[in-house]
Amino acid sequence: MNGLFAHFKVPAALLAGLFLFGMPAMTAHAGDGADSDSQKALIDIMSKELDHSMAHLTTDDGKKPYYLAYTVTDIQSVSIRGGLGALFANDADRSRILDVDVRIGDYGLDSTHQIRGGRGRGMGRLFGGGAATISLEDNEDAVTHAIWRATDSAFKSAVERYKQVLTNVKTMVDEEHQVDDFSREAPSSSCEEEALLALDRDEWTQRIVRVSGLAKDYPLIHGSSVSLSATVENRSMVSSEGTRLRTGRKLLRVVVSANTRADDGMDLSQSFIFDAATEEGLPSEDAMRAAFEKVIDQVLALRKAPLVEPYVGPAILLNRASGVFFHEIFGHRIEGHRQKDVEEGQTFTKMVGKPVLPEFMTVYDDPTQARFNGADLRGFYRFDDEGVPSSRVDLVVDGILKTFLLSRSPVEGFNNSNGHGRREPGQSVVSRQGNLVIASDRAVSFDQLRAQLVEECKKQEKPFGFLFEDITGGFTTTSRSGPQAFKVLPVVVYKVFADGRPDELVRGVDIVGTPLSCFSKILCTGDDPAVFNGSCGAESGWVPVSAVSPSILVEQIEIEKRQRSQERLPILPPPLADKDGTSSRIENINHKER
Amino acid sequence: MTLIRRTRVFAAPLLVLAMISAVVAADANQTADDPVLKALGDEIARSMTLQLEDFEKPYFVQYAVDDTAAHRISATCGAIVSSNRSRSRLLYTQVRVGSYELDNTNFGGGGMGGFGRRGGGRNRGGGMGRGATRLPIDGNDMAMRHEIWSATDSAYKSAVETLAQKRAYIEDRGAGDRPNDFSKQEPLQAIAPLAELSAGALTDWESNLKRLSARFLEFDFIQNATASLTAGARNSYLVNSEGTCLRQGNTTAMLRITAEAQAADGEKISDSIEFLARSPGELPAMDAILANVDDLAKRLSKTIDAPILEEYIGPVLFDGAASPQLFQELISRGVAASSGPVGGGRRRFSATENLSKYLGKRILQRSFQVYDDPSAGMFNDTVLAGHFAFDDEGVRARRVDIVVDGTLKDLLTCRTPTKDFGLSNGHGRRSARTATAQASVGCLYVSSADGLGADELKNKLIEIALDQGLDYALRITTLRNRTGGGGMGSMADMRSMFMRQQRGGGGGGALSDPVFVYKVHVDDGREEPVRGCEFGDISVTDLRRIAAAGDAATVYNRGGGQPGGASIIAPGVILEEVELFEIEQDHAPQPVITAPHAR
Repeated sequence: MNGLFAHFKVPAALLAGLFLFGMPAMTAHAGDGADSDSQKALIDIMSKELDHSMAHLTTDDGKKPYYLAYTVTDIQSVSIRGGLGALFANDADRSRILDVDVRIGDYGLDSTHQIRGGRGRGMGRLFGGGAATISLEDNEDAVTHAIWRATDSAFKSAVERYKQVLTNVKTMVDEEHQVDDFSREAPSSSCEEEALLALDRDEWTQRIVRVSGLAKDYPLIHGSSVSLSATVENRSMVSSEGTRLRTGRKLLRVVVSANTRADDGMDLSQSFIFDAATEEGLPSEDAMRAAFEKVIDQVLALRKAPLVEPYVGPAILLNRASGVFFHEIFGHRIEGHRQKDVEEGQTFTKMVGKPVLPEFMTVYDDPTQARFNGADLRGFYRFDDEGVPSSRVDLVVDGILKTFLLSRSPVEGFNNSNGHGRREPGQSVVSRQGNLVIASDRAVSFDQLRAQLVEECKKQEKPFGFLFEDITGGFTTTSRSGPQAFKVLPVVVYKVFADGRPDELVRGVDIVGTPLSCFSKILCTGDDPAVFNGSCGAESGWVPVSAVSPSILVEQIEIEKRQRSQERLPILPPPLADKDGTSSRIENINHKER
Repeated sequence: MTLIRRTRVFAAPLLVLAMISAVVAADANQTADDPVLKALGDEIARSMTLQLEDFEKPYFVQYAVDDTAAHRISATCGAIVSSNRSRSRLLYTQVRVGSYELDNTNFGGGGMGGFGRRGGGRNRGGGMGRGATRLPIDGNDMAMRHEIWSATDSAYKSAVETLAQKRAYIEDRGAGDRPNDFSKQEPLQAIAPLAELSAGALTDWESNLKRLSARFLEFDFIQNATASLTAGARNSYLVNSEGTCLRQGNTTAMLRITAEAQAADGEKISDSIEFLARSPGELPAMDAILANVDDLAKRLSKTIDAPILEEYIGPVLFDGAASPQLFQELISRGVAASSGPVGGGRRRFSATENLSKYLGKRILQRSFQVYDDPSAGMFNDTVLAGHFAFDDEGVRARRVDIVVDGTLKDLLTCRTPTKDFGLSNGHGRRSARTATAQASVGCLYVSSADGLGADELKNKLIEIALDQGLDYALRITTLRNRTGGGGMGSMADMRSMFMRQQRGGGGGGALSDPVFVYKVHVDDGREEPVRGCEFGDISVTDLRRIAAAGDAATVYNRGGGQPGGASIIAPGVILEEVELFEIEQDHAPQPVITAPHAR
């Protein structure tokens, strides 16, 4: 449940992966809400300095920026955590981050162009400047000063890099495909209402502490927590092309989690996440209690579950688990920038117009969708981080790959952004997923899907198949230097037997494979699409995303044993249980239904 | 106020424990209602019974808890950039298995250090540093005990594993003539009142910081400036199985103002001023601080316009903060005794490291005395960052006469014995966020019996320069603060450090770069600022060639309000021969556009 979509690009190196966990939702009220004076002041200050910079930024030999953009993201957050009926943290934070994006050269070839033959990636922002923490007040002196400093530093880095780009282009062989570095887009102008946090912090603190006290009845739970995190982001963006944007969104999340250790030393943990875009969407205390108890029951059931040997055979990925799977294995490979980066594996680069999924499957990414079946989607946004309006992108239609997720960095054959340029404040934009939706024409009820799994086992002469109910996350390599492989980390897995025995909960299983072969083996899907909300980590930092998918039946999946610690169980009983009549509640776990 | 009880008997741990409980119970007002002390006491008794089959029980368990509440406000150009409160209660767990003679610590052979490595339980890592466990911040006794239990279990398992490896290593290779691993110490009990940061303590400070940071807008050449205040209350607990039970509390307020300017050739010069007080209310009045801000701006202004110093060999007067900074860099690590771990090997001796080989030998002129005494909280009107009553191993801080009449007599010690020293003299200190303590400086005082007044000292400098046939001598007042992360210009600092490492400069025995350097002309004594230089090699043996010292000492505080804070108190000194040369570095050019406040 607590998704962590991870995707490692470069195994060891500095940067890395795309992880996905939890998701934010947005309360962006569209249209032209009433301007709060302060916000307006900020955007005016930014515009004024932008004009000044465009007029005066010039090197001695006449190099000027052809594009300059300023984004200020005001981030307010509250984080409360409880455990065993005690308060562990109750923190509030606020900061404002300025991003300066400057380009030298022209749309065809500019200072951001990839430098082939090694260097050129990763350290740009770190040493090149371009991001800064700025004043929390709309104080003209302070805001202007911060922008001036960050601009100077970003401009100088861009000038330096542009020289390297020109040299690199001259000295290396011609590039495989020649596309522009920056797409031409119409400027955006929009003003959403300022998002404000309206939580009763004291009430939530008490509630979290109360709910967390439930774990006191379970001595075998070694650690547990109940937490609330709330983030409000208000973004102001101005660009030299005329973009003037203000957007606001709210991401709220309640997480309950518990962990224990099996007798053989395997650490086991389980959690459940509630995501909401508004305070009203947060769970009731009863719902939090129920989820916490379920998580505790699940993790204690896992303690007793048997380990599994490596296996290849048919399996079902339950809807939300399938969402993680698609995000990880498919979604990251259709991000536009991976199609032009020569370091990338480019699994799908030459596949446009060709089948990549079974013909009954369709995949699109639609950040314009705020909700699905009543659930807030964290991947919802109206404008991406380059100021381009978001749009639904039909990636795969009837199994055929149509296009990629695109930022303003064009890919051969696709010259414009489709509103998927995203970043965490302080990072450089790349193309990312928003709300990835998997749809199917061959959808059956879950019971039918399960029956098909049993049939498939018999056909393959396997005594059992697997049902993956919950995947905690995963990672995948898209880099050319590594194998094009993936691994996902399921936490709740059942053996489904061909002979009709009841399902058996097992543990210690990882799914491994290669993407292309795996997609070709999808046999059928359920009619049960569900939402996985998460945060995805990649080159441009952490961004909120969602994946919506039905359950899928896969002809063949490969699993391997999970690595585990060799640590023994705690020697002494926990303080709570160190008295007569140690709770025996742990022995009374009902096998739960799905 | 402070309740101190001493126990003379070194009893079996569990007996002492029973006694602690008695002490705690006896002083109902102060301690029984302190949930932290109660939880630590309850769990330490259980922890001493930890045992895995085929292994011993712990012979020593110690819990240290840092309970801190802090509020940090930072402003630039007259506006608040951040204002954050934080509250945390961090537990550091130490479990020792074996005996005082030989235990699981001081072992490098297995690649694992001793305790704490896995002591953080599931809370380890994630920036908390090794060994820190988050405890609940309310009074919930059971939840606190649960975390302590979990951390101790992990630390014990790690300890027995390390001890087994260490024994095997010694059996295999021998340990040679090694000191004991841990010294015995008389248990202490002292419960100080809880420190609290009063709610209204920072009321005026947001506007004060805005005003201070806005002052720099009046100076066109200042490119960046910040003013920040960190005010905090820290209560630290220490409970061990020998019977020590301590609670110490203090509040601090640290005001730091940093500004940066750039010379025409691109060199960036930054400097900061700091005020350390016991509370925000005790900080200097705004007028006084503003006067200091103006001085800082003036210093920077003169320095950026100053010429480059290309090359120099001759006498240097380390004046003001530069003198304690000099001693900090040359001897503060060396005066702390330490011995390499078993199987650690290969400890390179460098000039600034352990001075034990100089014991009994003269390292300074005969007129010099050096001692460390953490017991005083103030020096004249200055709060000392290195003050403490008990060290982080529960040992009472003691004055240690390190250099007597120029001869090295003694070193600072903690509870880890070395070849030369068996007992702690109360200088075992944890740095921020680690479980293990090592000997380190508290308040280090340097003085010379025949110290000169300021004018005499300058005359002496000129006299030496004349004698060496020079036209001028140098006076240096500030060295670059290597560790001070003022939160500004840090990226530029990193970059410059990186570039200098790359070209191989500033290595080994060199001091931090001087910030403010003045030529003192021998003909008329006039002073003229210069910049852009770095030191040649300089080592502790150069201290024998101090030609003269002043009679008024300056305090240099490091890490005020933090665990491991230290103070060096020293008068100006003249070193007879110091080499400096120009820093060869490509500087970032001046900003392309004029700064907004200078337009």
